[in-house]
Amino acid sequence: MIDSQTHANILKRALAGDVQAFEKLVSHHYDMVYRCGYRLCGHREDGEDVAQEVFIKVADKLHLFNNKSSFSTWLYRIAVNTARDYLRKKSRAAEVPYENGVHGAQDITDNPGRYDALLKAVDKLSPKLRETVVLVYGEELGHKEAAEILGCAETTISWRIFKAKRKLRDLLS
Amino acid sequence: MKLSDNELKKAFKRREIPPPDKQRRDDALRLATELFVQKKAMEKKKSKGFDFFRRLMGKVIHLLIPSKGDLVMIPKRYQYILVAGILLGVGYFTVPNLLMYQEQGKQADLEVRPEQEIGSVDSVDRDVPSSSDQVTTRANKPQAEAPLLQEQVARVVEQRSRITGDKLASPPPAPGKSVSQNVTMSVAKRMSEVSGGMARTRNGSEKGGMHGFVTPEPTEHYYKDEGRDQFEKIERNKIKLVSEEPVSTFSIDVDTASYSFMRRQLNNGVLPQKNAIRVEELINYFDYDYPLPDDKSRPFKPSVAVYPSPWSKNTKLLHIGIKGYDIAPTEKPRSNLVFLLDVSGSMNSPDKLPLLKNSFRLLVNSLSPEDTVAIAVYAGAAGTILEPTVVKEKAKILTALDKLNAGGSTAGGEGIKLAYSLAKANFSKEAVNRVILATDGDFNVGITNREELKSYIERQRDSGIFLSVLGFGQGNYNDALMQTLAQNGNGNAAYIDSLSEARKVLVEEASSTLFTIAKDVKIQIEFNPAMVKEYRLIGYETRLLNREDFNNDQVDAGEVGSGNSVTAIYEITPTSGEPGLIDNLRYAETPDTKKVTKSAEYAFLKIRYKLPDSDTSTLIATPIDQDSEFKEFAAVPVEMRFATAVAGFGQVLRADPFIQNFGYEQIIDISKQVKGSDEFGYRAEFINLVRLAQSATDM
Repeated sequence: MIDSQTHANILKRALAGDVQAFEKLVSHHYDMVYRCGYRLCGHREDGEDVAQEVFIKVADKLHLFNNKSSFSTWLYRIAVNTARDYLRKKSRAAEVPYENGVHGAQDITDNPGRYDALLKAVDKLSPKLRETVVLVYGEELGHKEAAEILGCAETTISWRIFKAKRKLRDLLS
Repeated sequence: MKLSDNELKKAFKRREIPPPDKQRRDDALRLATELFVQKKAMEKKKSKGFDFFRRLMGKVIHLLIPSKGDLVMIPKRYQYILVAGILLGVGYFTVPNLLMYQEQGKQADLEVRPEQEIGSVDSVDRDVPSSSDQVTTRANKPQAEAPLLQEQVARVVEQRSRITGDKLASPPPAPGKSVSQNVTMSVAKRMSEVSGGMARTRNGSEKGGMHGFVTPEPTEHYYKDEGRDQFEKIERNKIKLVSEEPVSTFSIDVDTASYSFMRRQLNNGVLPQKNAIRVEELINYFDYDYPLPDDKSRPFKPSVAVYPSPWSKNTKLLHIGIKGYDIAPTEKPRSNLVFLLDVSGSMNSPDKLPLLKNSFRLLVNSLSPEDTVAIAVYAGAAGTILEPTVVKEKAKILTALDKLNAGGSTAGGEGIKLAYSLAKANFSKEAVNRVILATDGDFNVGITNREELKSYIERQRDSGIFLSVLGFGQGNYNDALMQTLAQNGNGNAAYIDSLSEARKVLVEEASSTLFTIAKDVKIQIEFNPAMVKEYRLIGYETRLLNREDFNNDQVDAGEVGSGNSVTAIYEITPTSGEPGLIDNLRYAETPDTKKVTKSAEYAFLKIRYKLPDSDTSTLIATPIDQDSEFKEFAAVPVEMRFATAVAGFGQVLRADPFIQNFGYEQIIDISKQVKGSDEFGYRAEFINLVRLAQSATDM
């Protein structure tokens, strides 16, 4: 893995146009972007498509990255937007897309079916709420970073989480 | 029921995320890196002038330190300082000074270098893949540097892919010395190569900037050919008197090739030749937000308007816009595609075969898993390199694409026959069956006669197989042949000058490129002599039909793809205004405006089309009356004003004599006001092209 110092260094070199540094940078972040794409869109192929699109955009727009936010926040933002466009294009947003269901470890004592149902309910949320839930609970980001990624106020995130939970409870009961 | 944060987090954690396909991962990373390299090359092209110094330094290194091994021993950073020092030395000092500089390298770096040399060193630093410094380029010596750079970048790409081919899979290595050393070595090698081959590379390097990303390929001597681009001569449409010829008939045209070819020429700093400009293709390059039909039983509805012409006080423009029904993703049929790729010797150029490969890679990645792809190639002979394969086995298709190499003569005719037979073998009535031909059009073996090819394609039209023609390259680009193929084979034509254009045609607008919603679409307009004295159709010169062809379903015409928009503009001289360009006849009756009952109507519009699987046509008819008239140009809907600006630009480029007191400034003015949301930046790019044309004209 790359520590933060090395990462900063690689990023700096990539910004200066160093091809090898760029390769390392994208290779390092691929899995994160793929995972985020997968969580938002639901299929392995979707995650791969989104990731490919994201990195094409990164290659094209890296020079516009200005260190105002962290690089991963910037990437997440591109990933969320790309996934949103992707879903809109495929107009699959309404479907429940998960192909894999939930495969839990055996030692968990509580009801595994409930988690399954919970994730299915997450997919039924509106795109905005779902993106928020995926970032906050799936990617486990803070409200502040999620707000930065989704381009809204921090309080909006809190409000969305509140609404999403209420909606999820309704869907589950 | 309670729902805790923890529970939500757990739910996500417990879901197993399947690992991404390794091939897809590698592809995505490679594509991104290639784009990055190209982007860098493009940027560098903008910062001119360091070329001379780089070559000079290459020479210096070559002369002073002939053994590359020695050079590698010196840390890279010092190499440049050393070189800068040497340059200075050559300029200002004697040999002892030079030695002193070598020792004081570091200080020299900080203190004494004149501006220009700093610039050149920095620039070189940027050229090196393992560079680690933030740089700015300041040198200023415009030279024809682009092709040289591309060759260099190509080599870097090749080396890099060798170095990193197996590295991507494993976790990224720490910035290790072996890789950077390797690169340092290759840089030194390249530098000496550059200095050695300087004279050679400089020749013929005049053709400079290309638009967007052009894929470089590791080729030493690639095929270069200039000045043999072939275009059909366009006879400009005449002004017609309504009293003599009240009816005008033409076939629609959704091709866009002319626009991207023009863009490429303008980006090279030259005005395109007149015959390369088909005004309707310029207009139809853009997507216009005309109202969509409500249901798909009528695949499109016309939007019409009459408004004052921005380039003449006496005339008005009659605007017809059509937007095709957009097939919802869920309704999209399966595609049965045959790629027919030209791999002849003439394709051996960075903007041809390599760009072609990348374009098709993009297309394959955007197809659905059930679609099938077959690949046929032709050079001296035609052959199948990939039998019809479902896109699920993407890796297989991409590997087949990767293996392509260019060489030999061009048996295009044979290739087309083979492609059609492949498409037929896998023909499915429910699917979209389409041959996608990618070539520079330089057919020289087998059927090379255009008429013969045309009749072959015409015979295939009834088979239900559609054709898309993608043009590549310049120099020997045969636009005339491409048009013949696309117009006669139920097809469309686009010109791919860059990877971004490939994305537009094959990914963003894939559905309009691949899915035809109506074929043989013809437009007929009858002008009302009481209202219109003269008219002139703007563009569509190569698409005119006879009046009787309109109702004859045997006569072929253009196709409309899903979501395509098509625009046609007439310039009309109203009877009420100033006299037109044609004098009234002394012995003819002048039409009496009061006598005609339908006096409020300018014209009557009729559109005929066939659904893709039908042989009989359907008619849409609508009068164009004063209700659709705008008195002020500024009040006209944004989309129509933009189309008008593009139409004006096309005519200015063609130096049409009908345009007066209207030039680039006015075009820029109009288009700036009506850019709209311009999601992909195409309209902004248009404005830039107008500026380029302006400066090319001034030169």
